[in-house]
Amino acid sequence: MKVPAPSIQLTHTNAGRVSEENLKKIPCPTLRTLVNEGLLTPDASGIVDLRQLDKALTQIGVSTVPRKLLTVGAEGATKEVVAQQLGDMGRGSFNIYALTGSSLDHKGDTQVLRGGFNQERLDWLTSFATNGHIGMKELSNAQLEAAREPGTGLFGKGLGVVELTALLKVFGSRGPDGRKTLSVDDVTNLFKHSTFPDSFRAQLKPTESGEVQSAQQTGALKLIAGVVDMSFRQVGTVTGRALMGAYNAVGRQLGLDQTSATGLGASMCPAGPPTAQSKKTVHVPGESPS
Amino acid sequence: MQHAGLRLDPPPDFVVDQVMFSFKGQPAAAGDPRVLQKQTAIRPSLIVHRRDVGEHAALEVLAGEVTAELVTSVPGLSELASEEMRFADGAAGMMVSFSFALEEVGTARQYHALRKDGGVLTTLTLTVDKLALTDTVKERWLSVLASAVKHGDGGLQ
Repeated sequence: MKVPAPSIQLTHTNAGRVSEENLKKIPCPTLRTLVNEGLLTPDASGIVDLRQLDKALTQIGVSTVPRKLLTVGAEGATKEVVAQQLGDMGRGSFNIYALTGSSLDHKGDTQVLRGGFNQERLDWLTSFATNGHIGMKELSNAQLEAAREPGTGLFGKGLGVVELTALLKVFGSRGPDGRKTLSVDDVTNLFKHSTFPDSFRAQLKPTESGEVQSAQQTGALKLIAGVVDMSFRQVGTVTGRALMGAYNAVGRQLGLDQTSATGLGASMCPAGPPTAQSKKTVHVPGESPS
Repeated sequence: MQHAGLRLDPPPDFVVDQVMFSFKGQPAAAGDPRVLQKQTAIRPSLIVHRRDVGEHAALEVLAGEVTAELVTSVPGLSELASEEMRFADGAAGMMVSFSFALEEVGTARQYHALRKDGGVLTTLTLTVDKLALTDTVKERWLSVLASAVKHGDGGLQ
């Protein structure tokens, strides 16, 4: 049977192996790019070994703490689907095609990959660029507008912020002013073509085994810092105030463009944050709290 | 209008949309054993934020959204709790609390207390030293939160 030529440009590592239809099922631009670049190789039904996800994240420079958060989250988000498919044998896997509609599917994102790929929404996202580049400030503006979508609760806003920040922190390149940005071409490569930005690809260096690895490590603190930065820019958010409290607690000065150290819970979709506990009994001042 | 050492004359058709102010407690004394051991000593702080959310937003739903945002943006947060509370003027409120997981703030506990007066949501974010949270100390801190009562009509103006 002839496989229709996909409209998404495939690299030689993935040519024809994953169809356009299946790529469109992946709602996260980073995961979709990892698949398209051949660093993730889902089987026909979308099952990916978490060890491969862990390795792929290592290769693009995401270091230990956020990598653990992401792999744990991936497993949690599609646990039921995988269990139905593979039963106990599915442990240690997640289904990359089953993320849409999972517990982490949310509104308030950029909508560029909603239902596959949306050029109009990509044009909307890149319209926020300044001098052809998108940095934290521009992503914050885009995220604020995206979060105004009807039906977006705070949950969706939080996830969207982290998603965009992770893209910037991992794939962005540092400009003369020291700040990381993505060019409009970079954003197009990630969202439309599911390929690494040219500048990111240029700094990939081969390992002894012939694979590639990013020369820049994006550790927890850097990714976290970006999330906090974006959250805090949205003054008046719960996240912003929570992190202000954290910074106040350790005596740091928190400027509007300075960042703190938490945040990666739901980055790079999917991640699996702990669920809130149920309500406890009434607390009344003067009585022993529960 | 004047507030906190600033006087401002906004256009007459401008209305206050939200307000936020932040308090900090005293830093740990130099003789605090944790400072001597170069461990992080937690400085308490209180952030008060008020904004118009409309008459129809239920406090429980707002508290749920607060909880959801916190769990997605503060990775590894632990000892998460949400409970009803009552303010000193008898108003019903909700409180969400958790402990930070990160090493440098790992001994901090944070409380988010919410109350709604008409269409105005007040959120009080209190960050304190978890290691010092005896029952008595915790009661004192919670009383600080409960002391937030409506003044006048409770509006933002």
